[in-house]
Amino acid sequence: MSTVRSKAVVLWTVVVLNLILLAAPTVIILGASVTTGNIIAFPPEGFSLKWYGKVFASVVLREAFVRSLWVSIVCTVIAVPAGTLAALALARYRVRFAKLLQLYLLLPFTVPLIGAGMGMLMLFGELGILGELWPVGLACCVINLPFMIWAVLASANALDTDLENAAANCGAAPLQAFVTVTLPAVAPGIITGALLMFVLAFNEFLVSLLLTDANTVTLPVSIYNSIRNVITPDLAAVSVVYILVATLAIALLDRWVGLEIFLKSK
Amino acid sequence: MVAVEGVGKSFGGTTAVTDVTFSVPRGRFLTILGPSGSGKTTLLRMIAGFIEPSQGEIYIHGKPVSAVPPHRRAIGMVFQRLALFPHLTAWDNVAYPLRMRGFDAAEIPDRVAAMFGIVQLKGFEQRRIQQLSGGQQQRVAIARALVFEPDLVLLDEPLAALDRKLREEMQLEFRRIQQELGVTTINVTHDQREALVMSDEVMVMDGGRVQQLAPPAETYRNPANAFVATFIGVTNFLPAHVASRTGSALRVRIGDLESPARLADPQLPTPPHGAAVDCALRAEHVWLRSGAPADADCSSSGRVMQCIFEGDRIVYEVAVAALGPALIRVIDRTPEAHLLLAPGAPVEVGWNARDLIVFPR
Repeated sequence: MSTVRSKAVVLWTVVVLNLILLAAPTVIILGASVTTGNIIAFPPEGFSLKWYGKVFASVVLREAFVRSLWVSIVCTVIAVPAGTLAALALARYRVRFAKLLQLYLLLPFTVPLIGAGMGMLMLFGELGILGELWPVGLACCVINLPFMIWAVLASANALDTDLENAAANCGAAPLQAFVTVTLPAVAPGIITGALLMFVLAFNEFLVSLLLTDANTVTLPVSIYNSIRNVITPDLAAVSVVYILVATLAIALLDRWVGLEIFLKSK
Repeated sequence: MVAVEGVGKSFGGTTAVTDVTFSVPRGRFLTILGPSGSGKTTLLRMIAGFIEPSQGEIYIHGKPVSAVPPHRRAIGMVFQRLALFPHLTAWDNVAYPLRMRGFDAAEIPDRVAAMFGIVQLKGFEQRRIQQLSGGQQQRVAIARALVFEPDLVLLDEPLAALDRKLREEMQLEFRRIQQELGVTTINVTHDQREALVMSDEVMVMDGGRVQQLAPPAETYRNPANAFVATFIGVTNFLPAHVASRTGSALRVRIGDLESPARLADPQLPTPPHGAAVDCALRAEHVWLRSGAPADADCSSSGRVMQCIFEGDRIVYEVAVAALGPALIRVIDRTPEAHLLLAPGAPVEVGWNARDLIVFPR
């Protein structure tokens, strides 16, 4: 009995410590954002929303926010068809060199972001598109595409291998079967991947740092530039905005797909 | 209705199906029975149109269908893992073939509703597939295959995944629906019981070739060859030599015993004196008596080595010295009439000439 008890105590201690560690940054930043003082501090001095007011009044931050939104949209719009088709090809059809292709599609993970960023800096420079905003979205799509592919693959691999045959047997022509059966059946994976891509692009920092200039600076880069001067509580408020965006994405995911897809071990 | 003529299929270097010919008349139920790798599923998929035959031709309604893609063949199919559409409700799964086949939108609800009645799934129309039990999913798959009133339905071992009780229930259930609608059916299974229970005709396959095509009782009573005899029922195989033959009367020597026997196929010439043959003896055709000699055409004494009580029957393994080291399996179907014989008990075993079936090598 006592060993069971001590085991429970140890387990709970570990769990609670973990939860504290995971939640600490969020809690600290939340606290720091509502301080009344002029320097970032935890625990906060008093309670006020003045820094949020300042954030929303700041033209620089608002513009950076809109740019980040645009970058995320570009990234997602490219990633959804590219990642979905790649994943479906790998999962549902017999593709020559499938193994090699899969490795190739995971390449962005193995290349350090700084390397990928430098490569794209040079490529975009050559193409003369450096200084525009949409290439930043394209870059975010390239480096994060494996997430999209994984999300759709997880969905596609769980499907019955005879699904398209069943559609054909029901009288659906190949394209009809693809549109009415294959795509909707992997929709949970597509939605998951799309939200993931959106959030990742919204948060993307390192590659954006290399690819943006003063006119195209995105929100994470803008925050970074501010940190280099004085760390004021408005940065904590911006971070909270970030957390809200991520929470919104997860809430949408739960509503549209359900979070079981992440909790299942398949 | 369906005719398969000289159909063969090879994948790369391996041959899956060799020179298969058969036909199924309208409204009949054919089961293709065979172990895994016998080519039965490949054959079914060629009829459905998912695989193209390497040789031969398949005719549906007398028309060759090689050039017809699967979505233009009016065939219903129940898939092995059902392949129901996970993003649709039960209702929409059943309505799908009607929509794809361009049925009048006004008559779709009536047809789908009628189908839910036939498969006895009323009240479950709006459930998602994942919210249905295995047996209910089965019924949705059957409804989807039958809803557009196809002339031909293919079953690709859809019952294999169910537990035994539910499987036996669904076998009878499908047979009822099949007869109610009079739809021609080709079923694929490795379950001999299912083949015997459901079918008008059974086609036994092995190694990509047809071994026997006959009504269920016929495949059971008169197996065409040693493979069919082993695959259907529990059968003892005894190597033997022809001892004598006078007209149609045949005697074989098994170990130290001589027994009257019958030739599997009376059309074939009787093997010559001394020729090596295989004798099949079904476990339920062996008489087993303790004490008194068995009342049979041939008998010998042995010893029970193992006794397996299965409720409705008892399976014995008996060592018979005169027959050599191989154990003889015996099934006693009236366990309540007899005592359980303990291992080591001396017994008399016997059989009749008509049950000892001789296959020339």
